[in-house]
Amino acid sequence: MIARTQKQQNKLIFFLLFLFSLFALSIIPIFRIVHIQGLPTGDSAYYHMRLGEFLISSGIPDNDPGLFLKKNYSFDPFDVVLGILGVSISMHYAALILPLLLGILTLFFCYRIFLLLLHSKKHTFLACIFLVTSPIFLTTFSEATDLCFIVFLMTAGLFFFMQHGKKRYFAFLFFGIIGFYEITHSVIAILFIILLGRHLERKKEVIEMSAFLFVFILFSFFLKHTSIQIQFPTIVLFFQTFFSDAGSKFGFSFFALILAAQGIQHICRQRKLPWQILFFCLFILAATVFYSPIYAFYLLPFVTLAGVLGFFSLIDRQWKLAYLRNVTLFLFILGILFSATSVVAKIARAPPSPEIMQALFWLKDHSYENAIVLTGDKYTSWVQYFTERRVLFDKRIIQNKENQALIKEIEALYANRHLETAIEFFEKYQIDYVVIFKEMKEGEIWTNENEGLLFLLQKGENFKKVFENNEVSIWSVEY
Amino acid sequence: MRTEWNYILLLLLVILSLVIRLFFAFSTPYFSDDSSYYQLRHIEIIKENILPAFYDPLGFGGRTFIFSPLFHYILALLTSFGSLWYITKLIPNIFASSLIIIIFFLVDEITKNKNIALFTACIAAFIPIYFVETVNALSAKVICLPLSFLFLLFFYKIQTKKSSIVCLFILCFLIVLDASSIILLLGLVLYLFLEKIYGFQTKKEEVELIFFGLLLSLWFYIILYKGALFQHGITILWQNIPQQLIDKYYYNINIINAMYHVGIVPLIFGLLVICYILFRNPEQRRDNIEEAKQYEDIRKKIFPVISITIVTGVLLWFTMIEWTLGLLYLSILLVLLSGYGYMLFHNYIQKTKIRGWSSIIFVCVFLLFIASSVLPTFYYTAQRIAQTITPKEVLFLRVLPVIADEDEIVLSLVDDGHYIEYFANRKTVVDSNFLQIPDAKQRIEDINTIFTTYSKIVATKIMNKYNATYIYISPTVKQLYGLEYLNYEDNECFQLLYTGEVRLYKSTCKQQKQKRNPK
Repeated sequence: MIARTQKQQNKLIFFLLFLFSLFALSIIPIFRIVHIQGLPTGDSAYYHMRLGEFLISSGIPDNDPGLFLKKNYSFDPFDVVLGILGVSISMHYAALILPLLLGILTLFFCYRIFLLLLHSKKHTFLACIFLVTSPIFLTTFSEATDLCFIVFLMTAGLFFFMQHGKKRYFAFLFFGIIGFYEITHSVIAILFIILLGRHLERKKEVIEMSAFLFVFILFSFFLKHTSIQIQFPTIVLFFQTFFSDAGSKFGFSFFALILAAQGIQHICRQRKLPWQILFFCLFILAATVFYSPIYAFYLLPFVTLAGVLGFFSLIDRQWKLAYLRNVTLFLFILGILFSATSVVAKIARAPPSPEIMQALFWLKDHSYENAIVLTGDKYTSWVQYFTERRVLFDKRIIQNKENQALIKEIEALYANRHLETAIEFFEKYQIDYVVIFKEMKEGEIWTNENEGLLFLLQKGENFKKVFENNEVSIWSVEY
Repeated sequence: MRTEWNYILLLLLVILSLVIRLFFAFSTPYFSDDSSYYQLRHIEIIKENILPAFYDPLGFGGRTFIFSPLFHYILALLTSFGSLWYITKLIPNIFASSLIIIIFFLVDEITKNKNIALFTACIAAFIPIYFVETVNALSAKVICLPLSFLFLLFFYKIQTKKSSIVCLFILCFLIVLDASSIILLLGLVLYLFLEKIYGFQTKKEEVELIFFGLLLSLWFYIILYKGALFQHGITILWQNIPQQLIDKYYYNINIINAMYHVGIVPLIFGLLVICYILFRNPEQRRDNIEEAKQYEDIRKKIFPVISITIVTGVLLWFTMIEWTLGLLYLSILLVLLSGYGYMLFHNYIQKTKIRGWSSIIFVCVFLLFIASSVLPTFYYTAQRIAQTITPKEVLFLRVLPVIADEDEIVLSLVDDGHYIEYFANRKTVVDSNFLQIPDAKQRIEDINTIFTTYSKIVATKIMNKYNATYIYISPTVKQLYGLEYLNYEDNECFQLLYTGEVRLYKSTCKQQKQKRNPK
């Protein structure tokens, strides 16, 4: 009887968690469908949507078909998944629903992993709630980018790695797919496997899986010529990268971090903090700061688990000012929920807007098929997707250090007020249209209308403004 | 001296300080800074509508500005009992004078010596920067500063339930009142660290209260400044003040500046106490157990004050807080420490051969205090009062609504923005609240161009950019730019409408506005 009740309780917890995560993750897609014509949020999503469509209709390309400058296309399994789903329900809906599905599956796998680590349903339930309400989780599973797919693969791989028998071999499949992405993900997967393997006392399986992933890393190094570009951000940027409340896209809530600090203090007091976890967190922190902010996601399980321990340590603590206990816990819950809601509100209203879509569709209808477009690197994905025209460069080309000369050339063009020099550039790259977004004029590239290319566009005889709305202005170039 | 006499003298000191303050405050019918008029406008709005106006239709041609309205509610409530002008001059000075009583009790709590406490209260009554900044201005600081130190007084007795509740209440009140309470909280966090470093047993109540305070402030400020945080990130600390003006609000403070604004006596004795408490080795007092215990007790009591002093000093050093705010905190903290400093000095004199001269030494210290604190206080206050907006300026601004329509925008210097908004009730291109203004830097540059350019075309373009119709030239503009008339005045595009102590130009050449959407 008791066992039955326990089972029912577990089911109820699981059901509640499922409902809550479905609710939290579906707010953004529903808002976008109702208010923003079903346009997926973010810019990278449109890159994957375009390539997903292309892969399904024309197979794997040698070069990125949306770029004028040649850039090898590196195969991304996420594009295939998105493309397949996009064929069945439209591409826009696919880009809205796929992250949601991956988020719920990731949460399921995390629930099982946390249960193994925390040994308590109550703790695990709270950990999952913290996970779903964390800004970084909400951001990752709101945008159709490869990150949500990689995180799903990672958690699925770890879940199957925990299993016994033949099920365990599924882990090879999931970790194998991670090998298609940047090697840092594979390195992190190895570190996760070592940590989990140590906890489960499975030395043999750890060696097997690590060796398997190591082969992928070597493959990446020698065949894909992978190189790591380290950057040194300022303290201000570091702060902005790390805290969602300070405007970061992949940051943590201040409150979650305070709870985590409380949890770490609690673990340290009990002398239970293994040095391997410290090393792991430092590695990810370094990757986040010096490489890319997206790696902050891998700190999330640790922040969540430490947060749960911190929360329960506050409950169990003997408070001298007893009347402060409940208020403090309430403040934590409010703070965490507040961070989550502000991130949801921010992402839900994020561009592209219908006005941007309208402008880019206009360009699609009024330009010839081989036209080449120049725009800011942040906006190339939208331009490529909506106009179906090639752009000169995108941020993937800019990130490559081999293209330094081109970057300098573009920077010079943006600052240049000499008509001849500008025309020379446009002729060289056969550019037909210049698409200027509002943010480019408001500090991103120019601060006022008399600066550089913006001045030339308005004054030069070779340029004609062919379209303008509140978000975008389009100029045609003649030479 | 008998205890009752101490209290009588304290009362006399408070009355004397208040009378001097009111003498200065009522010597002019106006406030001495423009931001007081921003506060006054919001007090009046609350009195009229009960709700605060987070949408300001006048500043920057109309903008949303989020702030904590508690201070405005307090003043609105108090001014409902009498004349607005009279009460807004009186109440801030009463609040500011209450600091003298709080300092007396705080020093008494630390030193257990009422005479020393009275001497320190005397110093507190004439802290130059505190006096100057609070005598004829309307700012939340006049409530925030005395309350912060009242909090400290109850913080010492936190183990009693009554004190802990009062502490909690004051803390919550301070957090909602003004963001400067974060200095107090950061100082208390440092205090917990210092206690750990020096091996003191930390009181659980203190940890709980500080932890709660930090959480509450974080939560409250994130909610309040959410938009600004998303827009400016960590640079919100500098309130989006354009680089051209940043030196006015945030500049590197040095010891000479500190002497001017704090006074020599509190500065010397305060620094002496910091060194004595932080660096003196208690092991030296092992032979005298009672003295060692007494020293440890005092050290524990002084740690919170020193911690807040260090935090304020560091924030000032790294220009992370406005220099006036930092110096206000720093000066009061140093005065507080100087009480114990004087006691140490006095005790030391008693152990030397010149102990017979201690009364003469006291007189010397007192004279030094008068020369370095009281006289500069009067001098700087008189100077500040002289900088107050003149009746002629106010008279003109009150007439401005007759000249300018309700929707017309006036271009002026940043310092004149709130004056125009309050007295003339007209829209401005800039005022001193830059938070969440994306083009703040550009606006300052453009205003600078308007007052310096010789080109009528450039000036017209700027006026059209901000949809501004009038240019207001105040005595400050004349002084700052050495300007009597605009360089491009021609009666064609810029008509001089009014001339006198102030000047007003009307821009008449409108460029045809570009249509945003050709469709």
